[in-house]
Amino acid sequence: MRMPEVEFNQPFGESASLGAMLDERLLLIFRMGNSEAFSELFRRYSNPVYGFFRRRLENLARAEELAQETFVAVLRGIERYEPRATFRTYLNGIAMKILMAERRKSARRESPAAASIDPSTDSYVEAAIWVQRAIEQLDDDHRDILLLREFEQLTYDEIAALLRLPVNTVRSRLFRARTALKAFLLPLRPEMRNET
Amino acid sequence: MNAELHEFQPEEVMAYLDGEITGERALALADHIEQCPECASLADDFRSLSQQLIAWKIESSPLLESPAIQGVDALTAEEAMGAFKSDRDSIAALLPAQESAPVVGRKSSLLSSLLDFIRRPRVQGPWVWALASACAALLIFSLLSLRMLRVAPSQSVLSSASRETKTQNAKPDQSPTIGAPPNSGLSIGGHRARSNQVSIDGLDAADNSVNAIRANSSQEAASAAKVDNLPVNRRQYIDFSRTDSHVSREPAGLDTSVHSELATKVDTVDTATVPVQMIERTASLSLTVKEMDAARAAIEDIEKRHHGYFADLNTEGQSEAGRTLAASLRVPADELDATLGELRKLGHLDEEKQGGEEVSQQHVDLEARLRNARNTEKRLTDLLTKRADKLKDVLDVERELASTREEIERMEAQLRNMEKQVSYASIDLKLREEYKPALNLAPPATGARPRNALVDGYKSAAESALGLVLFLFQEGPTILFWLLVLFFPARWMWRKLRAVVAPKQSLAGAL
Repeated sequence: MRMPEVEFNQPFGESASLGAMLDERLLLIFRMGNSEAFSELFRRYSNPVYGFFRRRLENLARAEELAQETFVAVLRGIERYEPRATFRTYLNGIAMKILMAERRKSARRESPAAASIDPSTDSYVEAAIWVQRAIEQLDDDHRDILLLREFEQLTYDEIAALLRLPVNTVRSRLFRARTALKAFLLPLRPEMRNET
Repeated sequence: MNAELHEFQPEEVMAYLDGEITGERALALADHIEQCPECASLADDFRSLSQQLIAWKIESSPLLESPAIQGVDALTAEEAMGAFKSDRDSIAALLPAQESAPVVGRKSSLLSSLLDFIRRPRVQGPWVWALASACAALLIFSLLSLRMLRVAPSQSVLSSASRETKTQNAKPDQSPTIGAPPNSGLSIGGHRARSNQVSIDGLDAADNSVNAIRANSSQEAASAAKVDNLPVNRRQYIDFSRTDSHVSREPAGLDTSVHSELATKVDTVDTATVPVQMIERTASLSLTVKEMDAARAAIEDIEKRHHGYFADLNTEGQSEAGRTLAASLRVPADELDATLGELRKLGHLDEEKQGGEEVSQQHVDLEARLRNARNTEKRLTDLLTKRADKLKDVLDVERELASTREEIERMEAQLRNMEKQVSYASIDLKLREEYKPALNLAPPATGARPRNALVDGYKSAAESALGLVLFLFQEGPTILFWLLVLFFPARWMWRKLRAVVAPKQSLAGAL
């Protein structure tokens, strides 16, 4: 992907012009000393990053902390970022690493594996709970790929790079994950099909 | 679904729906899905699945809900970068911006939480360092202890002295009498004394060096002996029962105060309760002499005058170069100091050592056993003459008597040997002639030297290779173990360190 060039003497404009910029350009501008550029990036990716952790962790507060941690990691590693990769891929890579670290930690802590979905506190539609339950029944390997594809909207290549798997493996696992998920969803909520 | 009947695998249909297939293939797939009801239904399934999944919505990020953005906006890039500087002051300086922001719940501002987060590793810092230094200390300690174990512990003079004192204290005061040791000119007739503090002036050869002798049976004297500043505790083996003859044998150089002290002390000694000190004395001298031949003649003269003998004598070296002489000289114990004094005058003194090993305890033990054996012998003899009537009994007693007598003889021999050792001190003498380089006019053989060098080189290369292998065998497991132990903390620390350093560098790069 072609990277927009950054001129050093370019005056950094208002938020409006920043909003129109590509992620990678924003990052480069931030690196040169414009903090608003990072605010813009933060605005753009707060929800996706939070959602990333929220879908993968049971602990709501922890998801929030890790989302924050991801942005801190971006700040810290800002010099290591190379425009070769898109910012989105870069961010997803960081989030994935943080998630893996978190999983290792919680595996050591022996946290209860059982899902703790409480519909009374979850204010979202009932369908979400069914989906969530069905996804939880998947294998870890399959679930990760499915979530990256469906929610993070990563391409097969991006998933493969992120998880360090061959693209064919990603494709076959994704296929199996979707087939299994379909099977899980049917008995759970047959009327769903009719709704959709 | 029967995949074989289909031009396209179901996986491919899925990939097509995901936008992963492009170009001609995508067109072909689109056509196929239109025509094939199975593939169409499959595609529908995938689409509806994705639709269903969209139902799982996530509330918007609480990070956005808080005035976090303002927190970040208030920062200039330098400030944001500065947050990574290690000093807390710069972080504290940034905090007022956070205070101005309204406090909403736990997350008042992204800035403060970011700062909190950045500060967190630093709080762990001391733990990291403590752990690392503990590991390092453990490593060093274990390596040192490994080294220490390999070095044989050497006995210090002080420890041997204290050991002597202990033996002395533990010893019962009922030591039996022993006969006069041969050739020593000293005799023990149930009267014993010990000199606990003896200082020796080795330079005065005529003097037998006893400046002060305190015969005292109290424990204080024993402890005084321990703190004696001499290199070795020296004790004399003196018979006080025959004070006259003893004193008469004293050389004329003996201080009169010693005589008077001796005279007073001798009366007070309760000889029956004082254990005797039996010490095997040894000394070693290392001298540099000008002329080896003259020195050797002098040594032989000294040996004769002091009634000693050579246990061993070796000379080495060519006549022109510095020759060496190693001799083991034995002289009567009471003439040791005089002999040493004379020997010292032969040349320049390089090194001198003196030592003494106490054998009193062994001596006492041996005597006790000997006495018991004699009693047994006497009883057996009585038994033989009075009680034993039957032939079998007589034979038994005879056999027993024979073995007892054999034991007595052996112990007597041991006792004599020990007394001889005590009465004779040994001197290890090493003489070195001053080096006089000799001019060797013969041309050095050049032909064999390259070959010799080559052989030596090969040998040393092989030895060093073998040494390396041996070292790896010997230390390898230890090194491997510690590498394994320290690898993870080290890697973890390295990552932490890099995480702290990188933003600083980035700041430098940005400016």
